[in-house]
Amino acid sequence: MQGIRASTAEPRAFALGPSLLAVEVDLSLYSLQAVFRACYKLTGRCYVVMARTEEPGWLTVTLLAKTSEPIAGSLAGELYNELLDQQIRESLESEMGSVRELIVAQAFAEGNLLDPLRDEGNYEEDPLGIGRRR
Amino acid sequence: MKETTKKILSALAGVDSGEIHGLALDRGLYPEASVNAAVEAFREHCLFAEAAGTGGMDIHVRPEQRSESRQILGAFLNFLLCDALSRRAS
Repeated sequence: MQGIRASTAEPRAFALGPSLLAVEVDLSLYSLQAVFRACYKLTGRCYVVMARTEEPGWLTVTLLAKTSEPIAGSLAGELYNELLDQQIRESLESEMGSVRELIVAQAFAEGNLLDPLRDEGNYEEDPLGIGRRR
Repeated sequence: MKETTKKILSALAGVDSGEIHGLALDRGLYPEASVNAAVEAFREHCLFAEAAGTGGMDIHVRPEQRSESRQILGAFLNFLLCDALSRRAS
């Protein structure tokens, strides 16, 4: 079928025994900070080691089960979901962080931060020209 | 599978017997200060040595605590990660 091809991509999650799993992460998709945060979120459920690989732009995240019970098979998938979540949070922060700061600052400010004259201007002087004929 | 992945899996293969051999801790991810803090925090549970030839780290859980090897070595690894992340944030 044209336009659809079988994927030749290598698998990126490898298990060594039932309680040890390594996931290779492409840093062109996820920032290092996002990987750190995603790994941190998994520390409650498993032990985590990170290492940059010999191939630039890749990182290996190794997950070790907290007990010698088999590690949950879905943990690699959860790591990928968490990576996506953290990456989106980071993108939103860079896009909307300044707006959020302004909203918080305005919430705690007494006057109008964007337009001080709107609240504090002298109505007789009419600095906004509201009473002027148009 | 990348060579680094193989090395890490191999280094961690002995956790249940209380040993990590040649664990290469990437200083770009885990700063020296984090490694030092983790070694200091776990000194009473583990013996640390530089792995011969590899530049990695050998870690042995003290014999009297071998029954909790996985938990001790794992806690060491998570300590490192948390410390490294907090240093990045600051």
